[in-house]
Amino acid sequence: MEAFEKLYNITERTMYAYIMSIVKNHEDTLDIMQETYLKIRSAAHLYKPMGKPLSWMFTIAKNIARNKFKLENRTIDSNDLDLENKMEFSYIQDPIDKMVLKSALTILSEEERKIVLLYAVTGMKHREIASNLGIPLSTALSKYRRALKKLRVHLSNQGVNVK
Amino acid sequence: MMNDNINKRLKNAIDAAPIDLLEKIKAMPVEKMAEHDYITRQEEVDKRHKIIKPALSLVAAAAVFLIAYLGWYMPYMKPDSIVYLDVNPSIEMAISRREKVVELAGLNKEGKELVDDMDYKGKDINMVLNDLLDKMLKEGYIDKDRHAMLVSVLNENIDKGKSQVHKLNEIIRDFFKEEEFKPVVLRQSIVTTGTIEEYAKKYNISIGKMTFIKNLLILNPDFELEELIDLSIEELIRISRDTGLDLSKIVDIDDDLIEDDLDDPDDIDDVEDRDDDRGYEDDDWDDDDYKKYGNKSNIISAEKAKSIALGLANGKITDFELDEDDGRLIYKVEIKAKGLEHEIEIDAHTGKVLEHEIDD
Repeated sequence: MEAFEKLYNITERTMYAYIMSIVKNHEDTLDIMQETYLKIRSAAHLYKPMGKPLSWMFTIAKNIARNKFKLENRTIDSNDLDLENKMEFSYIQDPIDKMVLKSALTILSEEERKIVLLYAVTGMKHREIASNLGIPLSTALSKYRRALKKLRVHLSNQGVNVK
Repeated sequence: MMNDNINKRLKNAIDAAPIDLLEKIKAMPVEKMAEHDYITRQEEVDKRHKIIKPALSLVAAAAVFLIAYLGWYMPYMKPDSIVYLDVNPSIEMAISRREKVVELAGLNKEGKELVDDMDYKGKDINMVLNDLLDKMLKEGYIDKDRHAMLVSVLNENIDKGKSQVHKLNEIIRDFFKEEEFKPVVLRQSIVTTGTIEEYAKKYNISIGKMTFIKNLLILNPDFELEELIDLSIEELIRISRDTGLDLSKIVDIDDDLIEDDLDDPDDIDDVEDRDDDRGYEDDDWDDDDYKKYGNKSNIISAEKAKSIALGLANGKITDFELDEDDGRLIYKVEIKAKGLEHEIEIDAHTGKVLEHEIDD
C-alpha cells in the first residue's frame, strides 16, 4: 500500500491534467481519476514493465473516460449547457488563470490539450510527453507550437493580455 | 516569455484544483484481476522508441508491486540517487537528476518523528539537508559531544555516487561553520543488493547504515549483528576504534577529526596491541606493504572476497580471479544474479570494493 501511495502522490497532478484534457471539467475528472487508480490497484500485478508506465496509466484513464461517456450517452466534445455549467472552475481564484484554462479547454483539440496541459503542469520534456502519448516528437512539438499560438490569439481577442 | 506566461497560468489553474482522492481510493476494496481486460491491456512498445529504462530495476528481488512502483517513477521525477543520512535518526531521501528532493522518509522512530511535518517536495537537496541538520541540532541529536553521522549515496553509477557524497559533505561542512564543533562525517557510495536491503528492512535501519555494519562485520567477525544494529553512528565509530578497526578501509573519513574528537588518547596505543584480535587477515598490513603488494600473505582470503562480492550481489559466481592491476592485487568476481551480470572488483589488501558494474 505504501508503494501505491507513493505512486499516487507522484502522479496525481499529471493524471489530473491528462484526464482534464479529455473530459474538460473538474467533477468528471475526479471520478475518472478515482476509477483509474482503482483499476491500477487491481491490475498492478499484471503490469509488465516496458519502460513507459505513465503511458499505461494514460491508456487506462482514456479507456475509462471513453467508457463512461458511452454509458452516459453523451459525447465528450458536446457543447451542451450542462458542460458549460460544469466548466465553472470556481476554485480557481485568479480570473486570468481561470480564463486561460477555460480557453485551452474550449478552443484546442483533445490532443492539443493533452500536449499543452502536460507540458505546463508536469514539467515533462516534449520528448517524454510524445513518448508517453505514443506520438512522434515532431508532431508533439508542432502541435504544441500551433496550440500556443491559437491560445494567444484567442486570449488577446478576449482582451486578455498574456504577457 | 509569452508562452511561459500561458504555461504558468495553466499550471496555476490546475494546481488550484482540490483533489482529495487518496484516502478514498485506499479505503476501497480491490479485487486483483486474473488477466488484463480491454481497459488495462498494455500496448506493444515500439522497440525503437523504447528509451526510458527504470533506473532502479535491479532491485528486482522486491515484490511485484514494488517493482512496478520503482518502474513507475515519471522520468523527470525519477530519483537519480538515494541519500541516507544516519545520525541516530535514520533518514532516506530520493533526489532527482536536478538535485531536487522527490521523497523524504524517516526509517526509524527518531527519523520518522524528525521528518514528520517537513515540507520537502521539489526543494533543493541543499535546503532540505540544512533543514534536517537544523532540526537535529534543535532536538539534541547532534551536539558538542555527539556529532558523528554517516552519509551514504546509492547510485547505480559509483562515480556519480561518489561525487554526490562529496557535495553532500560540503553542504554539511558549510552548515557547521558557525558551530563550535565540527561534525565527523563518514561517507560511502553504495550499490544496492537484495540481501542488504532485506536486513535493513528487517531492522528498520537505512541501507546505508546496514552496508556500513555489514562491512564492520567483515572487518571484525567477532562483532554480532544484533549488538551493532541499535548503536548510533557515534557509538559504532567508538566501538570500531576501541577494537582497532581502520574505518578508512570501508568508508571515507577525515582522519584528523576522528582523532581529535572521538578518540581518547589511550585508545590509540591500544590499537597496536590489539592487532591480533582484529580477525582480519592483513594483520601486518601497513603503508609499505601496500606498495610492495607482492606479498600474498597480506591479502584477504579468496573466501572473504567471495563473501564480500556475494554480499553485493546474491547469486552465482561465474568467474573468480586474483589479478594484478597497477601494482595492486585485485580480486575480480563475476556474479550472475537475477538475470543481471555483476562485475565486482575488490582490493585484495583492504577488502574495499573498487568497482561494481552491472549489465543486463
